[in-house]
Amino acid sequence: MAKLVIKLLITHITMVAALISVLFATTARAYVLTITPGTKAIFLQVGNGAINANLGTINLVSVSVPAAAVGSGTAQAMTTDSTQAISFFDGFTVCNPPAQMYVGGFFREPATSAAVATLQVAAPVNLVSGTDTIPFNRISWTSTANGNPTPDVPAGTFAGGPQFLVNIPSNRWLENCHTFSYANTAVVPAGIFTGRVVYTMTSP
Amino acid sequence: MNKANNIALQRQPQFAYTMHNVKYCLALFAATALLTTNAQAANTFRVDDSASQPIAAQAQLKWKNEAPKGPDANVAETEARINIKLNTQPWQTKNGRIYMALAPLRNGQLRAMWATQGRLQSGSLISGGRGLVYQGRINSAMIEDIMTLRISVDGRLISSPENLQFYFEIELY
Repeated sequence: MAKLVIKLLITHITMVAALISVLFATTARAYVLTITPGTKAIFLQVGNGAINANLGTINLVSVSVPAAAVGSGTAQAMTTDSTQAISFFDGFTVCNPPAQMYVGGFFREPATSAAVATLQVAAPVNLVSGTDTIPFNRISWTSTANGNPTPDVPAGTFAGGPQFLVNIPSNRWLENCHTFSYANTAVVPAGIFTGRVVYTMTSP
Repeated sequence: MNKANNIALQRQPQFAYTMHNVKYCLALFAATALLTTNAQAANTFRVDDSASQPIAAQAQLKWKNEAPKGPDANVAETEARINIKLNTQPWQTKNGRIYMALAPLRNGQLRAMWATQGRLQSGSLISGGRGLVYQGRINSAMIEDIMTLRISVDGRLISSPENLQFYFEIELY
């Protein structure tokens, strides 16, 4: 037993010595590499687009109302010249053009904050044909997508000015397909009525 | 009768001796375990790599996918080249394993993978851990190599510059 006590005592001495040696050893210097955060980015696609590219394409949404139906109160489905069917998110066919137009994007941020980007749309007060006008609020849209019926970018009616659509959380892709319709509730002169709608995404 | 008593008298000390052996063995085992642990700690040393320097002091992270999609939706990566110079003079002629280690991040985990020009081994580590860069006899007072370090991390967790403190340690065997 005496021998055992001595051995344990030696062990403790060894342990203390080892600890001291480790403490001294940790004074060695080390190299430091500084990494800096990834960049912030936003991406918005309305109609035809290309991932992370700035296209000048402006798609057209239109309807030709037969003379006999003008002002009938029966909503007229609109179609688009957009051919964007697949999502760049996963290659899935989310939209059914020409009935639907793709709207989607993301806000990339090197943070886990609750920051959001906002998506809004601005339409002029009227569609115009020479001196004739049709209020823009006669055009509405529904919102859905193949495989995701949730209207992530909600349905609505153009307000004839800027209007908020949705908040897009950081580091999340959000998309939908919009189906537009003209209310056709008033008799208007013959003509081609046009107006440009601008979608804007803003990040903090 | 006497014979039986004699047998009984002989067995008692034997039993006591056995218990004593068990206690002794347990204590010896504990002592050996402590000694082994201490021996490992005593044989591990920080390596002076104060001459090592990154070729560029900063490396900016880039999103692996510019869009937040797929399984690597939030992975950010960067690459850096490091001139590695390890002062191995204290352990020359000894056998050792040299590891590169990285202190834990403030948030989350980081993966570092590296390739070398051959003097050191290629490998990888997770922040808070270490990876083997050399194993064998220490033949020179200085081990030098150029390391290409690839960093991979959840880019959402690095919202401000982060100093990665790499260091080296050697285990003798």
